[in-house]
Amino acid sequence: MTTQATFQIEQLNFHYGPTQALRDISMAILPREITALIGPSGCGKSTFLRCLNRMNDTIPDTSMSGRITLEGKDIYAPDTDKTELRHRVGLVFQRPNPFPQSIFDNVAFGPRVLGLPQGTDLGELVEQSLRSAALWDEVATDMTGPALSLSLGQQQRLCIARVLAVKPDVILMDEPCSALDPIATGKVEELMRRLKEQYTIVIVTHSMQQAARVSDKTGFFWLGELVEFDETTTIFTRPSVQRTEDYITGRFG
Amino acid sequence: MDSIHVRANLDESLNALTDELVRLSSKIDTAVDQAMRAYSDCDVDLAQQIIAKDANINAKRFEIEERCLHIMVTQQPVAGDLRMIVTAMNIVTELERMGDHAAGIAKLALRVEEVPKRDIPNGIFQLASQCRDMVRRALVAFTQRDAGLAYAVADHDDSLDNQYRMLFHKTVAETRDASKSTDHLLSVLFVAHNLERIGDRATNIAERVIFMTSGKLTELNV
Repeated sequence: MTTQATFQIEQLNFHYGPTQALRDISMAILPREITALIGPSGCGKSTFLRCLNRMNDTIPDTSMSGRITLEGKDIYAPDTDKTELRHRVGLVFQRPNPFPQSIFDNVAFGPRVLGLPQGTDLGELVEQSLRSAALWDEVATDMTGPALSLSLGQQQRLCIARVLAVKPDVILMDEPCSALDPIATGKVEELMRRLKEQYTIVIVTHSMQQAARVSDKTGFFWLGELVEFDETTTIFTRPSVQRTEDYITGRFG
Repeated sequence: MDSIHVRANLDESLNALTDELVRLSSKIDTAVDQAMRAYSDCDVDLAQQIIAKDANINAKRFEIEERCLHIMVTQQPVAGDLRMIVTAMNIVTELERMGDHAAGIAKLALRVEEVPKRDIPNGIFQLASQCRDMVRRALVAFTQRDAGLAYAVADHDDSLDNQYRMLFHKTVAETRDASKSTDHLLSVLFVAHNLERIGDRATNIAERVIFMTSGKLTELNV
Protein backbone atom coordinates (compact mmCIF):
# COMPACT_ATOMS: atom_id res chain seq x y z
CA MET A 1 0.00 0.00 0.00
CA THR A 2 1.40 3.39 -0.91
CA THR A 3 1.46 6.14 1.68
CA GLN A 4 -0.97 8.96 0.99
CA ALA A 5 0.93 12.16 0.37
CA THR A 6 0.44 14.99 2.83
CA PHE A 7 0.69 17.47 -0.02
CA GLN A 8 0.14 16.51 -3.63
CA ILE A 9 1.17 19.29 -5.98
CA GLU A 10 0.11 19.08 -9.61
CA GLN A 11 1.27 21.39 -12.39
CA LEU A 12 1.60 24.39 -10.14
CA ASN A 13 2.28 27.68 -11.91
CA PHE A 14 2.64 30.99 -10.11
CA HIS A 15 3.01 34.54 -11.41
CA TYR A 16 3.99 37.83 -9.76
CA GLY A 17 2.26 40.16 -12.23
CA PRO A 18 3.69 39.18 -15.62
CA THR A 19 6.68 37.35 -14.12
CA GLN A 20 6.36 33.62 -13.87
CA ALA A 21 7.92 32.42 -10.61
CA LEU A 22 6.92 28.76 -10.70
CA ARG A 23 6.55 26.52 -13.74
CA ASP A 24 4.62 23.28 -13.83
CA ILE A 25 5.70 22.02 -10.44
CA SER A 26 4.45 18.54 -9.60
CA MET A 27 5.59 16.67 -6.53
CA ALA A 28 4.36 14.74 -3.53
CA ILE A 29 5.34 15.62 0.04
CA LEU A 30 5.04 12.56 2.21
CA PRO A 31 3.93 12.50 5.85
CA ARG A 32 6.51 12.50 8.64
CA GLU A 33 9.34 13.26 6.30
CA ILE A 34 11.57 16.30 6.05
CA THR A 35 11.55 17.68 2.55
CA ALA A 36 14.28 20.22 1.78
CA LEU A 37 14.03 22.71 -1.06
CA ILE A 38 17.31 24.08 -2.40
CA GLY A 39 18.27 26.37 -5.25
CA PRO A 40 19.79 29.79 -5.90
CA SER A 41 18.10 33.01 -4.75
CA GLY A 42 15.05 33.82 -6.83
CA CYS A 43 14.54 30.24 -8.03
CA GLY A 44 11.03 30.05 -6.57
CA LYS A 45 11.54 27.83 -3.57
CA SER A 46 10.14 30.30 -1.01
CA THR A 47 7.26 31.17 -3.34
CA PHE A 48 6.52 27.47 -3.56
CA LEU A 49 6.66 27.12 0.22
CA ARG A 50 4.23 29.98 0.67
CA CYS A 51 1.82 28.39 -1.82
CA LEU A 52 1.47 25.49 0.61
CA ASN A 53 -0.37 27.62 3.21
CA ARG A 54 -1.62 30.30 0.85
CA MET A 55 0.60 33.00 2.32
CA ASN A 56 1.01 34.36 -1.22
CA ASP A 57 -2.68 35.29 -1.22
CA THR A 58 -1.73 38.39 0.73
CA ILE A 59 0.51 39.64 -2.12
CA PRO A 60 -1.35 41.77 -4.67
CA ASP A 61 -1.26 41.06 -8.41
CA THR A 62 -0.32 37.40 -8.19
CA SER A 63 -1.94 34.47 -9.92
CA MET A 64 -1.71 30.75 -9.54
CA SER A 65 -2.83 27.73 -11.52
CA GLY A 66 -2.59 24.02 -10.89
CA ARG A 67 -3.68 22.08 -7.87
CA ILE A 68 -2.41 21.55 -4.34
CA THR A 69 -4.15 19.06 -2.11
CA LEU A 70 -3.58 18.62 1.60
CA GLU A 71 -4.51 15.08 2.58
CA GLY A 72 -6.64 14.86 -0.53
CA LYS A 73 -8.44 18.18 -0.18
CA ASP A 74 -7.81 21.04 -2.61
CA ILE A 75 -6.47 23.91 -0.50
CA TYR A 76 -7.35 26.44 -3.21
CA ALA A 77 -10.99 25.30 -3.38
CA PRO A 78 -13.40 28.23 -2.81
CA ASP A 79 -14.67 26.75 0.45
CA THR A 80 -11.21 26.52 2.01
CA ASP A 81 -10.95 28.23 5.36
CA LYS A 82 -7.56 29.99 5.10
CA THR A 83 -7.30 30.50 8.83
CA GLU A 84 -7.81 26.82 9.45
CA LEU A 85 -5.33 26.00 6.67
CA ARG A 86 -2.64 28.18 8.25
CA HIS A 87 -3.32 26.63 11.60
CA ARG A 88 -2.81 23.16 10.07
CA VAL A 89 0.19 24.30 8.06
CA GLY A 90 2.41 26.45 10.27
CA LEU A 91 5.24 28.64 9.03
CA VAL A 92 8.57 29.41 10.70
CA PHE A 93 10.34 32.39 9.21
CA GLN A 94 13.96 33.18 8.41
CA ARG A 95 14.40 35.56 11.33
CA PRO A 96 12.79 34.71 14.64
CA ASN A 97 9.77 36.96 15.06
CA PRO A 98 8.44 36.61 18.60
CA PHE A 99 5.77 39.04 19.70
CA PRO A 100 6.94 41.71 22.18
CA GLN A 101 5.23 39.82 24.97
CA SER A 102 6.16 37.24 27.56
CA ILE A 103 7.41 33.79 26.62
CA PHE A 104 4.16 32.30 27.89
CA ASP A 105 1.95 34.71 25.96
CA ASN A 106 3.85 34.05 22.74
CA VAL A 107 3.10 30.35 22.89
CA ALA A 108 -0.41 30.88 24.20
CA PHE A 109 -1.25 33.37 21.45
CA GLY A 110 -2.48 30.88 18.84
CA PRO A 111 -4.59 28.73 21.16
CA ARG A 112 -6.16 31.88 22.64
CA VAL A 113 -7.07 33.26 19.21
CA LEU A 114 -8.26 29.95 17.76
CA GLY A 115 -9.94 28.81 20.94
CA LEU A 116 -8.79 26.06 23.20
CA PRO A 117 -10.24 22.61 22.65
CA GLN A 118 -12.57 21.71 25.53
CA GLY A 119 -10.83 20.23 28.53
CA THR A 120 -7.43 21.56 27.50
CA ASP A 121 -5.41 23.45 30.05
CA LEU A 122 -3.59 26.40 28.51
CA GLY A 123 -0.65 26.13 30.89
CA GLU A 124 -0.19 22.47 30.05
CA LEU A 125 -0.44 23.16 26.34
CA VAL A 126 2.22 25.88 26.58
CA GLU A 127 4.51 23.62 28.57
CA GLN A 128 4.00 20.73 26.16
CA SER A 129 4.73 22.98 23.18
CA LEU A 130 7.88 24.37 24.79
CA ARG A 131 9.03 20.86 25.65
CA SER A 132 8.42 19.70 22.07
CA ALA A 133 10.44 22.67 20.85
CA ALA A 134 13.28 21.69 23.22
CA LEU A 135 13.06 25.07 24.99
CA TRP A 136 11.24 24.20 28.21
CA ASP A 137 14.33 23.46 30.31
CA GLU A 138 15.80 26.86 29.42
CA VAL A 139 12.72 28.99 30.16
CA ALA A 140 10.65 27.03 32.69
CA THR A 141 11.78 29.17 35.62
CA ASP A 142 10.76 32.47 34.04
CA MET A 143 7.87 32.12 31.65
CA THR A 144 6.82 35.70 32.31
CA GLY A 145 10.12 37.08 31.01
CA PRO A 146 10.05 38.96 27.72
CA ALA A 147 10.48 36.75 24.66
CA LEU A 148 12.76 39.34 23.10
CA SER A 149 15.30 38.85 25.90
CA LEU A 150 15.98 35.30 24.68
CA SER A 151 18.93 34.54 22.40
CA LEU A 152 18.20 34.34 18.69
CA GLY A 153 18.40 30.55 18.75
CA GLN A 154 15.98 30.41 21.68
CA GLN A 155 13.68 32.88 19.93
CA GLN A 156 13.57 30.64 16.87
CA ARG A 157 12.70 27.61 19.01
CA LEU A 158 10.04 29.78 20.71
CA CYS A 159 8.58 30.49 17.28
CA ILE A 160 8.54 26.76 16.61
CA ALA A 161 6.80 26.22 19.97
CA ARG A 162 4.25 28.88 18.95
CA VAL A 163 3.54 26.91 15.77
CA LEU A 164 3.32 23.62 17.68
CA ALA A 165 0.83 25.08 20.18
CA VAL A 166 -1.91 25.16 17.53
CA LYS A 167 -1.35 21.46 16.73
CA PRO A 168 -0.46 21.70 13.06
CA ASP A 169 -0.04 18.78 10.65
CA VAL A 170 2.73 20.41 8.68
CA ILE A 171 5.54 22.80 9.60
CA LEU A 172 7.00 24.94 6.84
CA MET A 173 10.38 26.49 7.56
CA ASP A 174 11.81 29.27 5.41
CA GLU A 175 15.58 29.31 6.03
CA PRO A 176 14.99 28.84 9.77
CA CYS A 177 18.67 28.80 10.70
CA SER A 178 20.08 31.51 8.49
CA ALA A 179 20.24 33.98 11.42
CA LEU A 180 21.57 31.43 13.90
CA ASP A 181 25.06 30.41 15.00
CA PRO A 182 26.24 26.80 14.47
CA ILE A 183 25.25 25.64 17.96
CA ALA A 184 21.75 27.15 17.73
CA THR A 185 21.51 25.71 14.19
CA GLY A 186 22.45 22.28 15.51
CA LYS A 187 19.71 22.53 18.13
CA VAL A 188 17.07 23.47 15.57
CA GLU A 189 18.21 20.65 13.27
CA GLU A 190 18.06 18.13 16.09
CA LEU A 191 14.62 19.48 16.97
CA MET A 192 13.51 18.98 13.35
CA ARG A 193 14.62 15.36 13.46
CA ARG A 194 12.57 14.82 16.60
CA LEU A 195 9.54 16.68 15.27
CA LYS A 196 9.36 14.64 12.10
CA GLU A 197 8.16 11.68 14.15
CA GLN A 198 4.87 13.56 14.45
CA TYR A 199 4.89 16.24 11.79
CA THR A 200 5.55 16.69 8.10
CA ILE A 201 8.27 19.30 7.60
CA VAL A 202 9.19 21.29 4.52
CA ILE A 203 12.31 23.43 4.78
CA VAL A 204 13.77 25.98 2.41
CA THR A 205 17.50 26.28 2.95
CA HIS A 206 20.51 27.86 1.33
CA SER A 207 22.77 25.49 3.19
CA MET A 208 23.24 22.34 1.17
CA GLN A 209 24.98 20.74 4.13
CA GLN A 210 21.86 21.41 6.17
CA ALA A 211 19.64 19.84 3.50
CA ALA A 212 21.99 16.84 3.41
CA ARG A 213 22.04 16.56 7.20
CA VAL A 214 18.37 16.83 8.04
CA SER A 215 16.16 15.96 5.11
CA ASP A 216 14.77 12.73 3.70
CA LYS A 217 13.98 14.18 0.28
CA THR A 218 15.50 17.12 -1.53
CA GLY A 219 14.07 19.18 -4.36
CA PHE A 220 16.30 21.38 -6.48
CA PHE A 221 14.61 24.48 -7.92
CA TRP A 222 16.05 26.55 -10.71
CA LEU A 223 14.39 29.45 -12.55
CA GLY A 224 11.00 28.44 -11.19
CA GLU A 225 11.30 24.81 -12.23
CA LEU A 226 11.68 21.76 -10.05
CA VAL A 227 14.73 20.33 -11.79
CA GLU A 228 15.11 17.23 -9.66
CA PHE A 229 13.36 15.75 -6.65
CA ASP A 230 14.66 12.60 -5.03
CA GLU A 231 15.99 10.94 -1.91
CA THR A 232 18.48 13.30 -0.26
CA THR A 233 21.26 10.69 -0.37
CA THR A 234 20.73 10.28 -4.10
CA ILE A 235 20.73 14.02 -4.75
CA PHE A 236 24.03 14.51 -2.91
CA THR A 237 25.85 11.41 -4.16
CA ARG A 238 24.55 10.71 -7.66
CA PRO A 239 22.03 13.28 -8.90
CA SER A 240 20.51 12.30 -12.21
CA VAL A 241 20.30 15.77 -13.75
CA GLN A 242 23.52 17.55 -14.74
CA ARG A 243 22.15 20.93 -13.64
CA THR A 244 21.63 19.61 -10.11
CA GLU A 245 25.18 18.31 -10.05
CA ASP A 246 26.48 21.64 -11.36
CA TYR A 247 24.59 23.57 -8.67
CA ILE A 248 25.44 21.42 -5.67
CA THR A 249 29.09 21.20 -6.68
CA GLY A 250 29.29 24.99 -7.04
CA ARG A 251 29.67 25.13 -10.81
CA PHE A 252 26.92 27.77 -11.03
CA GLY A 253 24.49 29.64 -8.82
CA MET B 1 39.38 41.68 -10.46
CA ASP B 2 38.29 39.16 -13.10
CA SER B 3 35.27 36.98 -12.42
CA ILE B 4 35.49 34.81 -9.33
CA HIS B 5 35.62 31.10 -9.97
CA VAL B 6 34.03 29.65 -6.84
CA ARG B 7 35.37 26.16 -7.45
CA ALA B 8 38.95 27.23 -8.09
CA ASN B 9 40.22 25.94 -4.77
CA LEU B 10 38.36 22.64 -5.03
CA ASP B 11 39.37 22.09 -8.64
CA GLU B 12 43.01 22.75 -7.79
CA SER B 13 42.82 20.28 -4.91
CA LEU B 14 41.19 17.59 -7.05
CA ASN B 15 43.73 18.06 -9.85
CA ALA B 16 46.61 17.85 -7.38
CA LEU B 17 45.09 14.68 -5.92
CA THR B 18 44.85 13.12 -9.38
CA ASP B 19 48.49 14.04 -10.10
CA GLU B 20 49.60 12.43 -6.84
CA LEU B 21 47.79 9.20 -7.68
CA VAL B 22 49.31 9.11 -11.16
CA ARG B 23 52.78 9.65 -9.68
CA LEU B 24 52.22 6.87 -7.15
CA SER B 25 51.00 4.49 -9.87
CA SER B 26 54.13 5.25 -11.85
CA LYS B 27 56.22 4.27 -8.80
CA ILE B 28 54.27 1.00 -8.57
CA ASP B 29 54.87 0.32 -12.25
CA THR B 30 58.60 0.83 -11.75
CA ALA B 31 58.57 -1.35 -8.62
CA VAL B 32 56.87 -4.25 -10.43
CA ASP B 33 59.22 -3.93 -13.41
CA GLN B 34 62.30 -3.84 -11.18
CA ALA B 35 61.05 -6.68 -8.99
CA MET B 36 60.72 -8.90 -12.05
CA ARG B 37 64.24 -7.94 -13.13
CA ALA B 38 65.62 -8.59 -9.66
CA TYR B 39 63.88 -11.95 -9.67
CA SER B 40 65.04 -13.03 -13.12
CA ASP B 41 68.61 -11.72 -12.67
CA CYS B 42 68.95 -12.77 -9.01
CA ASP B 43 69.86 -9.14 -8.33
CA VAL B 44 70.00 -8.91 -4.55
CA ASP B 45 70.88 -5.21 -4.45
CA LEU B 46 67.97 -4.27 -6.66
CA ALA B 47 65.63 -6.51 -4.64
CA GLN B 48 66.71 -4.82 -1.42
CA GLN B 49 66.18 -1.40 -2.93
CA ILE B 50 62.62 -2.32 -3.93
CA ILE B 51 61.86 -3.63 -0.44
CA ALA B 52 63.25 -0.43 1.09
CA LYS B 53 61.26 1.76 -1.29
CA ASP B 54 58.03 0.02 -0.33
CA ALA B 55 58.11 2.02 2.92
CA ASN B 56 58.03 5.22 0.82
CA ILE B 57 55.03 3.90 -1.09
CA ASN B 58 53.25 3.14 2.20
CA ALA B 59 54.03 6.63 3.47
CA LYS B 60 52.77 8.17 0.24
CA ARG B 61 49.51 6.27 0.63
CA PHE B 62 48.90 7.91 4.02
CA GLU B 63 49.88 11.30 2.63
CA ILE B 64 47.31 10.95 -0.15
CA GLU B 65 44.66 9.78 2.32
CA GLU B 66 45.40 12.84 4.47
CA ARG B 67 44.97 14.98 1.37
CA CYS B 68 41.56 13.38 0.71
CA LEU B 69 40.47 13.95 4.32
CA HIS B 70 41.59 17.56 4.10
CA ILE B 71 39.48 18.14 0.99
CA MET B 72 36.47 16.47 2.61
CA VAL B 73 36.76 18.53 5.75
CA THR B 74 37.47 21.85 4.12
CA GLN B 75 35.36 21.64 0.97
CA GLN B 76 32.53 19.26 1.90
CA PRO B 77 32.36 17.82 -1.61
CA VAL B 78 29.16 16.25 -2.90
CA ALA B 79 27.97 14.30 -5.93
CA GLY B 80 30.69 13.76 -8.57
CA ASP B 81 33.35 15.48 -6.44
CA LEU B 82 32.54 13.28 -3.46
CA ARG B 83 32.59 10.13 -5.62
CA MET B 84 35.94 11.18 -7.06
CA ILE B 85 37.51 11.56 -3.62
CA VAL B 86 36.05 8.31 -2.32
CA THR B 87 37.41 6.65 -5.47
CA ALA B 88 40.83 8.22 -4.91
CA MET B 89 40.89 6.81 -1.38
CA ASN B 90 40.11 3.36 -2.72
CA ILE B 91 42.66 3.62 -5.52
CA VAL B 92 45.45 4.66 -3.18
CA THR B 93 44.79 1.59 -1.03
CA GLU B 94 44.90 -0.68 -4.08
CA LEU B 95 48.13 0.93 -5.28
CA GLU B 96 49.75 0.54 -1.89
CA ARG B 97 48.87 -3.17 -1.85
CA MET B 98 50.30 -3.52 -5.36
CA GLY B 99 53.50 -2.08 -3.92
CA ASP B 100 53.38 -4.87 -1.33
CA HIS B 101 53.06 -7.43 -4.12
CA ALA B 102 56.10 -5.94 -5.88
CA ALA B 103 58.03 -6.11 -2.60
CA GLY B 104 56.82 -9.71 -2.24
CA ILE B 105 58.35 -10.58 -5.60
CA ALA B 106 61.57 -8.80 -4.59
CA LYS B 107 61.71 -10.89 -1.40
CA LEU B 108 61.47 -14.03 -3.54
CA ALA B 109 64.40 -12.69 -5.59
CA LEU B 110 66.47 -12.70 -2.38
CA ARG B 111 65.70 -16.37 -1.83
CA VAL B 112 66.38 -17.74 -5.33
CA GLU B 113 70.02 -16.71 -5.28
CA GLU B 114 71.31 -20.15 -4.48
CA VAL B 115 69.11 -22.14 -6.87
CA PRO B 116 71.19 -23.42 -9.77
CA LYS B 117 70.00 -23.65 -13.40
CA ARG B 118 66.87 -21.64 -13.04
CA ASP B 119 64.32 -22.09 -15.76
CA ILE B 120 61.89 -19.20 -15.50
CA PRO B 121 58.82 -19.73 -17.68
CA ASN B 122 58.27 -17.05 -20.26
CA GLY B 123 54.60 -16.86 -19.30
CA ILE B 124 55.51 -15.15 -16.06
CA PHE B 125 57.02 -12.18 -17.89
CA GLN B 126 53.92 -11.98 -20.05
CA LEU B 127 51.84 -11.93 -16.88
CA ALA B 128 53.96 -9.11 -15.50
CA SER B 129 53.71 -7.10 -18.68
CA GLN B 130 49.94 -7.54 -18.85
CA CYS B 131 49.23 -6.70 -15.23
CA ARG B 132 51.36 -3.55 -15.52
CA ASP B 133 49.39 -2.62 -18.61
CA MET B 134 46.12 -3.16 -16.72
CA VAL B 135 47.25 -0.86 -13.92
CA ARG B 136 48.29 1.84 -16.39
CA ARG B 137 44.98 1.62 -18.22
CA ALA B 138 42.97 1.61 -14.98
CA LEU B 139 44.70 4.87 -14.02
CA VAL B 140 43.99 6.36 -17.46
CA ALA B 141 40.33 5.34 -17.00
CA PHE B 142 40.42 7.23 -13.68
CA THR B 143 42.06 10.39 -14.97
CA GLN B 144 39.93 10.46 -18.14
CA ARG B 145 36.76 9.36 -16.30
CA ASP B 146 36.41 6.70 -18.97
CA ALA B 147 33.96 3.96 -17.88
CA GLY B 148 34.42 2.11 -21.19
CA LEU B 149 38.13 1.74 -20.56
CA ALA B 150 37.41 0.62 -16.99
CA TYR B 151 35.20 -2.19 -18.32
CA ALA B 152 37.96 -3.13 -20.80
CA VAL B 153 40.46 -3.41 -17.93
CA ALA B 154 38.10 -5.77 -16.09
CA ASP B 155 37.62 -7.85 -19.25
CA HIS B 156 41.37 -8.16 -19.57
CA ASP B 157 41.56 -9.59 -16.07
CA ASP B 158 39.73 -12.73 -17.31
CA SER B 159 42.53 -13.37 -19.78
CA LEU B 160 45.17 -12.69 -17.10
CA ASP B 161 43.45 -15.15 -14.76
CA ASN B 162 43.41 -17.82 -17.49
CA GLN B 163 47.11 -17.36 -18.16
CA TYR B 164 47.79 -17.55 -14.44
CA ARG B 165 45.82 -20.79 -14.14
CA MET B 166 47.70 -22.37 -17.07
CA LEU B 167 51.04 -21.34 -15.63
CA PHE B 168 49.98 -22.60 -12.21
CA HIS B 169 48.98 -26.07 -13.45
CA LYS B 170 52.06 -26.39 -15.63
CA THR B 171 54.33 -25.43 -12.72
CA VAL B 172 52.57 -27.72 -10.25
CA ALA B 173 52.97 -30.57 -12.77
CA GLU B 174 56.70 -29.85 -12.94
CA THR B 175 57.08 -30.35 -9.21
CA ARG B 176 56.70 -34.11 -9.92
CA ASP B 177 59.88 -33.96 -11.95
CA ALA B 178 62.60 -34.88 -9.46
CA SER B 179 65.26 -33.10 -11.52
CA LYS B 180 63.64 -29.72 -10.87
CA SER B 181 64.08 -27.60 -7.76
CA THR B 182 60.87 -27.47 -5.76
CA ASP B 183 62.03 -24.24 -4.13
CA HIS B 184 62.44 -22.64 -7.51
CA LEU B 185 59.05 -23.87 -8.78
CA LEU B 186 57.39 -22.60 -5.62
CA SER B 187 58.98 -19.22 -6.12
CA VAL B 188 57.59 -19.17 -9.68
CA LEU B 189 54.13 -19.89 -8.26
CA PHE B 190 54.46 -17.15 -5.67
CA VAL B 191 55.64 -14.59 -8.22
CA ALA B 192 52.76 -15.53 -10.53
CA HIS B 193 50.33 -15.25 -7.65
CA ASN B 194 51.57 -11.77 -6.77
CA LEU B 195 51.14 -10.70 -10.39
CA GLU B 196 47.65 -12.18 -10.59
CA ARG B 197 46.71 -10.23 -7.45
CA ILE B 198 47.98 -7.03 -9.03
CA GLY B 199 45.60 -7.74 -11.92
CA ASP B 200 42.74 -8.20 -9.45
CA ARG B 201 43.60 -4.89 -7.82
CA ALA B 202 43.62 -3.16 -11.20
CA THR B 203 40.11 -4.56 -11.66
CA ASN B 204 39.14 -3.14 -8.26
CA ILE B 205 40.32 0.26 -9.48
CA ALA B 206 38.21 -0.22 -12.62
CA GLU B 207 35.16 -0.93 -10.44
CA ARG B 208 35.79 2.29 -8.54
CA VAL B 209 36.10 4.26 -11.77
CA ILE B 210 32.67 2.95 -12.76
CA PHE B 211 31.35 4.09 -9.37
CA MET B 212 32.97 7.48 -9.87
CA THR B 213 31.47 7.99 -13.33
CA SER B 214 28.02 6.49 -12.74
CA GLY B 215 27.44 6.42 -8.98
CA LYS B 216 26.83 2.66 -9.22
CA LEU B 217 28.72 0.24 -7.01
CA THR B 218 29.38 -2.77 -9.23
CA GLU B 219 31.47 -5.87 -8.88
CA LEU B 220 33.18 -6.90 -12.09
CA ASN B 221 34.52 -10.38 -12.80
CA VAL B 222 32.64 -12.06 -9.96
